[in-house]
Amino acid sequence: MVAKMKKFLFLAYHKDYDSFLHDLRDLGLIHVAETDRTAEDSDELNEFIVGFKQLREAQKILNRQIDKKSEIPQNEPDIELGKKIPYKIEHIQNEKALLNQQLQVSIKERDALQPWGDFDPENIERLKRAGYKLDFFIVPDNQYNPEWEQTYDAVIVKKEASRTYFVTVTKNAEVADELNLELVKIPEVSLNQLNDLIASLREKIRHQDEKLKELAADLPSLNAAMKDFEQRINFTKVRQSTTSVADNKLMLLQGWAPVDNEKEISDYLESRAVYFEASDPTPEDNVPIKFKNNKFARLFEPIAELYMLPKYNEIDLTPYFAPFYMVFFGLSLGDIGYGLFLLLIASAAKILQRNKLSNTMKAILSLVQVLGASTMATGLLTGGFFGFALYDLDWPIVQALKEKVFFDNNKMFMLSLVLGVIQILFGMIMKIFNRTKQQGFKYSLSTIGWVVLLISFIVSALLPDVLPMFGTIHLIILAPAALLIYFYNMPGKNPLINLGAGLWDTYNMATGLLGDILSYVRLFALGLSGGILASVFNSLAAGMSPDNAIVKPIVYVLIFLIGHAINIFMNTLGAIVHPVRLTFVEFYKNSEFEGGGKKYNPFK
Amino acid sequence: METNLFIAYIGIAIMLALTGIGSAYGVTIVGNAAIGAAKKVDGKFGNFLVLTALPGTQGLYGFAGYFMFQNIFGVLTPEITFFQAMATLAAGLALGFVGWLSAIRQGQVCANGVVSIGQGHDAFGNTLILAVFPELYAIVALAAAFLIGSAIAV
Repeated sequence: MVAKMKKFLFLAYHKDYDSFLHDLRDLGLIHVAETDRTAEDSDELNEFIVGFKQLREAQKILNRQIDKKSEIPQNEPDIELGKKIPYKIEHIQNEKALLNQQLQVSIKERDALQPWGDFDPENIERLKRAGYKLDFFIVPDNQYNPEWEQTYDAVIVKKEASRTYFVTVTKNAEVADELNLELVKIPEVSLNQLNDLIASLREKIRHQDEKLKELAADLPSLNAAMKDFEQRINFTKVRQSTTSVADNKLMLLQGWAPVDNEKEISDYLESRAVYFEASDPTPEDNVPIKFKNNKFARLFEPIAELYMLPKYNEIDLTPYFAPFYMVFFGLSLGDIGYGLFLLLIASAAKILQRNKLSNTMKAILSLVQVLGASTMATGLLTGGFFGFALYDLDWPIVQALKEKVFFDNNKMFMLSLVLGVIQILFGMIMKIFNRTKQQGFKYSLSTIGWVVLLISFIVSALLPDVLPMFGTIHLIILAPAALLIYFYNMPGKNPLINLGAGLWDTYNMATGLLGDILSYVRLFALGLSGGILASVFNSLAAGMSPDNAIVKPIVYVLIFLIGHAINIFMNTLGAIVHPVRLTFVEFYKNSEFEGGGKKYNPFK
Repeated sequence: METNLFIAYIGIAIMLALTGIGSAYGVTIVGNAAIGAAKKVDGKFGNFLVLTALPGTQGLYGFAGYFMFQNIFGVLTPEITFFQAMATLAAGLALGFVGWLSAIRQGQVCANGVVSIGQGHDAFGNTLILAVFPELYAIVALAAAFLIGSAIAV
């Protein structure tokens, strides 16, 4: 069901407008209708959005700083401090980048200096002043000429990785040119100094990292600042949805709220002396959608939201697909043990985490409980229990049960198709109601014709004694149905157009129905393949465990657990997704669900 | 006859190999996309995991098909007739090819969904629904293999 809504029109004097909006926000029940026009103060909104994005980035960075082992005590939230955090982080990151750059340069220099050993560059400078020039060279071993030791006083410093490091001592000779070798540039610091520098740079970087970690203690402030920005964004958006009238003296705002809350809203607004008008929505209005379902159907709302919300004047199909979905899930998973497992896990989570769970989580766990129970019930049809065939047991009670409910593979195949026929016919009946609600009864006449036609064929196929196929009674039923199908599918239009549309419908129905019903084969195939894999893991566990009294049970349990864990994951995934498709494609299509409503999202 | 059994096992091999290869490719396509997208968005790994797992089922259908012929229909014995062997081969070809290509295609749909989620769109539900479309045909092929097998079961 879609909750009934009321349209509210607010009128406020421009000077009181901000306080009026605050009142509205505190009330937290009004969904503000946003207008499309570009507001003049969108700069303000942009500023908030940019600020919010910065904060979110900062939050990501700080979240990475928190490790589970050492808990950082969290400081008290402070919005103003929170807003500064992105700049602080940026500052730290810039510093760190600069230090890292210096570190890279220093490491490169050290690597260049390493082979020459530790010496003071000052000494080389002193030698130069005394008239002795030292040149540093690196050549491959085979190119080194020992004669250089005579001509240039070459001294080998090191031989490493088939390269020779040597120094020439000359009096101002251009050794590099004469030998046609490249001079090695030597940094103007000693190795020791460089090592010290690198160590100190590393220390500084570590210090910056620590600063970042300390900032993580201010995460509450950051979160508070984010919340603040979010509120401002919402607030600004709402203010921009306002139309100003009477020379900008009066502000006009449109909003929506559920009828159930009307009294509460009126009382509140009257106490705040706000002028407002409540009215019922007109068909042109784009009314926000709020679900209002009973306890059972409410569980399936998250599934319905996966697709689209219904339009306001449309029938919400959630309560109508819920029982089908439940059964389909059960058939697709189709193992009593797996159903029991889901039921127990969800129940345990609900009991153990009672106080920590959010309401959404609780609702999802309830859904898992329902689906688990349904799987246990439908699992009885095939009798699979963690891959073991339950009905192979010789107990009288089990055999009695088998007698009553056991379905073999062929029956399961038929069952899934029959369920398909039922759901599709049900969908068509929903289409009748949907059209009647939206356009009027006469627009649903042709659908009624189709339903009557299909049901009459099904009855005559199943019970030829009661209703012989194409017998007199059957023809009497078919004639008006055909009339509705071919001449009443577009009321008010030319009969020839109607006939054409009727033929087109017939073609679509013939091809579409076949495909739609065959689509339900998946229920059987998923259940079958899941069951097969489960039993294969059991055989694997039994067959692969070695003949050893101690190792055997361990290996058996391991294979059993891992195998079934994989199988439960894959099959549950399939059992969620495939019924979802059957719902949205086959069922929604046949019930002519359009959707496209916007969710009711009150201004808070 | 050994030749008949040989033909039947060729069918089983095609069934297992093609569906398995298809699923391996399918999940790899999505997995690659997921690794790329995980860099851009935080906290969506659960969605990616589910989408990555989707094309993995075809390989399982291939295996389930083999198991049906081995244990449920019990035709993979030296006494297998030529007719049974050819039927097994046909089932293997059908399930093998459909599973192979549908898994790859399904992987592509999922990968696009993953990329879209990575760009900040809330496309998880839609991808889930659309990605199941190609899989239907693998399921139909498995059902067909089941029907073929039932027709020749001993």
